[in-house]
Amino acid sequence: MKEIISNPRLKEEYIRVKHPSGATLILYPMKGYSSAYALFGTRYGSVDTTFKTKNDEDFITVPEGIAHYLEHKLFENDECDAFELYAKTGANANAFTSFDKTAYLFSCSQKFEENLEILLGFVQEPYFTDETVAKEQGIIGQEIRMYEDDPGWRVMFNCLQAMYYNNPVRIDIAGTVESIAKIDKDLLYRCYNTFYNLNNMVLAIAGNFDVDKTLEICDRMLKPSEDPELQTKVPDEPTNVMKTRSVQKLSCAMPLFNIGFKLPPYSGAQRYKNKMRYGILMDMCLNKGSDFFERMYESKLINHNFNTYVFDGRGFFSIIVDGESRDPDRVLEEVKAELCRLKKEGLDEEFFITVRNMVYGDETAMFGSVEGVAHAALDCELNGTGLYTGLELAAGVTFEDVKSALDELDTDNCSISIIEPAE
Amino acid sequence: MSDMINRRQIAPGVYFSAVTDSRYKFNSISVNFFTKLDEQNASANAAAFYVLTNSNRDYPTYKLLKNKLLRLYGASLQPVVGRKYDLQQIGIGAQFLDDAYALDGEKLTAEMTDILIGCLFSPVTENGVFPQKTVELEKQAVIDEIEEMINDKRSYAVNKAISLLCKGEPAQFFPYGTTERTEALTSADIYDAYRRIMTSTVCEIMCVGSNDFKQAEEKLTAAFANVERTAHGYEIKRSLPKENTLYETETMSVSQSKMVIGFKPATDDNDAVSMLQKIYGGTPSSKLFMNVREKLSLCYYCSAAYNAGKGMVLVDCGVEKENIEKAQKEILHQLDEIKAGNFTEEDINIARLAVQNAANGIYDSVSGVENWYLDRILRGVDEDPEQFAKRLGAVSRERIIKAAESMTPDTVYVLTDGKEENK
Repeated sequence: MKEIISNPRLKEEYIRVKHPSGATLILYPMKGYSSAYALFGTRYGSVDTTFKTKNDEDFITVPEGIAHYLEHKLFENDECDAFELYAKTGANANAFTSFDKTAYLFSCSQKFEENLEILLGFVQEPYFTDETVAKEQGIIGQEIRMYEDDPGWRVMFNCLQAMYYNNPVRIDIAGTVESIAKIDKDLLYRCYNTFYNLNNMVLAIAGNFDVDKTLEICDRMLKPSEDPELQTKVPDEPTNVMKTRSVQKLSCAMPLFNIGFKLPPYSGAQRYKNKMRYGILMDMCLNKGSDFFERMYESKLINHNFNTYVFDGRGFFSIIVDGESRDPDRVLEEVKAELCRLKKEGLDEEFFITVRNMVYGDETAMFGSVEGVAHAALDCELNGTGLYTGLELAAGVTFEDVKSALDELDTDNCSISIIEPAE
Repeated sequence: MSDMINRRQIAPGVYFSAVTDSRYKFNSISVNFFTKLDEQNASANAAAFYVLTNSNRDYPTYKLLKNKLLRLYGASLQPVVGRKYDLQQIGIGAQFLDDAYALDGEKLTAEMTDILIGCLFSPVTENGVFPQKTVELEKQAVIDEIEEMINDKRSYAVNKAISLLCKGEPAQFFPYGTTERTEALTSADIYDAYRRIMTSTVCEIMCVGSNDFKQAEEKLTAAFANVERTAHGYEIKRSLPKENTLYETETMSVSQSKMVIGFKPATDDNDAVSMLQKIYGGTPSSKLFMNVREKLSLCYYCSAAYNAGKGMVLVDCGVEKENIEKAQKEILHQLDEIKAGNFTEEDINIARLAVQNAANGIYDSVSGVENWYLDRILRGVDEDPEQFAKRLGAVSRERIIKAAESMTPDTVYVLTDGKEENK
C-alpha cells in the first residue's frame, strides 16, 4: 500500500509505503541535494525491558542495556562487520539507541543502492557468538565510563531517577557495567527475534535517491515476517515524583541543574499536540526572551546555558528546565514562583505569537536538512504520526491551547537534580 | 575558489563572499574578524562580541533584541569566538528562515541584515563606552565559557594538548583568554578592543543560503564605508617540533582517563598526511578503530584528526587508567605498521572514498559550505571540495608511507584520576 502525503505550505511531498514484508517505508526525495540519509529503525529502546509475544506464556524481564548492546553487535556477521562493507562505498555509517528506539543509518553521496543493500542486509542477519559478545563488554564498559564523567549526562539521569519510581527511563541507555555483564548471546537472540520483526520496523530515507530503485531493493531484501503480536509493559508508575532533590559531585566548573516536572504519558497525535503546548508554554514562561530569563540573567543566577524542553517518549512525558547556576535551589524557587504568578496573572497573547513564530521557524528549517528530515521521518512513523504534524501544529496552535497547559501543570510535582563541583 | 564564492573586497581588509543555492530553507550571514591570538587581548576581544550581540540602539535591551529574533521565526544571532590555528576568530553569526517561508510575508533577510549591522556599528553606549551593566553580565558569560571547558573532558583534553603542542606560539592560547584577564576588564578596555577590531582587523563576511544576498552586500558595504580602516594581515605558521617528546599528566576526579598523542609530521606533503590520517584513525575501518577498539577492546573511541594549518596530527582516546600504557603502545604500533607498509590498496581506496563522500556532501549544509571556505581563505588555499578530493585521490602509497615515517610523538598528554587504584 502506497500513499503520497503532501504539504502545500512547503510545496513538498513524500511517500509512505506499508510494505508486504510488514515494514513501513517513508521515502522523502529532496531535489538539488547531493547526499542521501537512510535510517532503518525498530521500536525498541532501553525502556523495553519487559515484553511478550504471542509465543510467550507470560511477560519476561531482561537485564538493562540489551537494546544498546544489540546495536553494537548487529554490525558484525560471521565474515566481516558492516563498517568494512560501507568502507568500500565511502558511506558514513553509524547507529544509535535511545529510550524507545534503535536505528542504523548511513549517509552517502555515491553508491546509494549498494549502501541500502548493506543496511537492509546486516540488520536482518544477526550473528552472535559467546566470543564476540564477550569482546564487546570492554568497549561498552568504556562508553559507560565516558558518560559517568559527563556532568550534562549525569544531571539529566539523576533527574529522571528522582522523578520516576519504576519506569525504566530512569536507567542509563547503555545499562550499567553490572547489568551488561549478564548479557549473553541467547539473550541477544531472544531480544533480536522479538523486536527486530519488520512489523515493528521503519525504513526512512531522505535526500538524493531513486524511489523506484529503492522499492525494488526493498521488495528483494525485506524478508516477510509474521506479526508476533508484540506487547511491551511499562511498570505501573505513580503520577507524583519519587523524590524532590538529588545531588552528585563531579568535576565541573559550576553547579549544573535539571528541574523536571512530571506529567502523565501521552501517545500518538496527543503526544505531539502536548509536546507543542508545553514546549511553547515553557518558552513563554521561562526561556530566553521572557521576563523571567531577563531577571534571572541580570541577577547572575543563570547564564546563557539555560534551556527548557519537553522530554517525551513511549510511556513518559515530562518538562525539563536545564541550566547552570551558583545557586540551583534558588532557581527552583524562582521557577515555581514565576509559574504560579503567571497562573494567577495570565500569559501575554502577543508574546505567544512571538514564540509560536519561533517554533514554526524551527519546524520549517528542519525540512532543509537531509539528516533532519530522515530522523523526523523515522520518529514520526515510530510514534504513529505524520511527518508534517509538527509543522502544522506549529502553524495552528492557539493561545488557548497554551493557557490551558499552564492551568493543568502541577508546579509542585517536580524534582531538582544538581551536580556540584567535586572538591 | 573565488568563482565558487565570488569573494570580493568591499572595504579595506573587508571581504564579502556569498553562495546562493535554492536547496536551503534558511540563510546564514557571518561577519568574522581574524587577529593574532594573544594572551593580552583575547579576553577583551571575545567580551566585545558578547556585548555587541546583547543589544543594539534599535533594540537596547537583551530582552527586546531576543524578542525581535524570536518573532522573526526564531532567528539566531550569536557571538562567534574560536581558535583558528594561530588566529582568534571573533565576530557575529546570524541564521534565519528564508523569506519564502514567512507566514506574513516578512522580509527576513533585510530585517536580519539591519539587526546585524545595528549590533556591529551602532552598539548601545554610555559616556562613550559600553554600559557597565551589560559589560558585567557579558564578562561573566566569557568567564563561564572559560571555566566550563572542564565539563567536557574529551574536548578539554584535546584543547590542553593543543596548548602544549603549540607552546610558545599564538595557538597555545585559549580564544576566550583567561578568567583573571576577563575579570580585570573595564568597559573602556572592551570598547577599545571593539574599535581596534573594527578599524584594523581583517574581516571575512560569509553568506550562505537561498537568498542572493545582493541587498546584504549593499548594506554592509555602506556600513563599512563609514569606518576608517587600515587592516593588518595575519600569519599562520606550522608548529615547530620539540627536540624531545613532552609527556604531561594532569590529575582530576574522573572515571575514565583521556590520552592525546600529538605528532608534527616533518613534511610539506599535506595531501599525504590527510590520507595517512584517514588510514590511521579517520574512519571505522582505520588502524586505530580496528585494533585499539575492535581487537583489543581498550577504548570506545580512539581516532586521529589532522590540523593542516598547524601541521599537527592528534590521536585522542578515552581509556581505563590501568590500560593507558597498553593503549599508547598500540597507537604507536599501528603507526609503525603504516611506516612498514602494512596496509593494503583497499585501505587507500577506503580512505579515498571517505574523502570523496564527505566532499560531495559539503554543499548540502549551510554550515558545511561556510566552514569549508573560511578555512581555505585563512590557509590561502584555493580549492573547492571536489578539487580537494581529486588531489587526495592521487596520493600514492609511497607518499603515505613517507608521511608516516616523518611522524614521531611530539607531545603525550594524559588526564587521569589521581587515586592510586582506579575503580
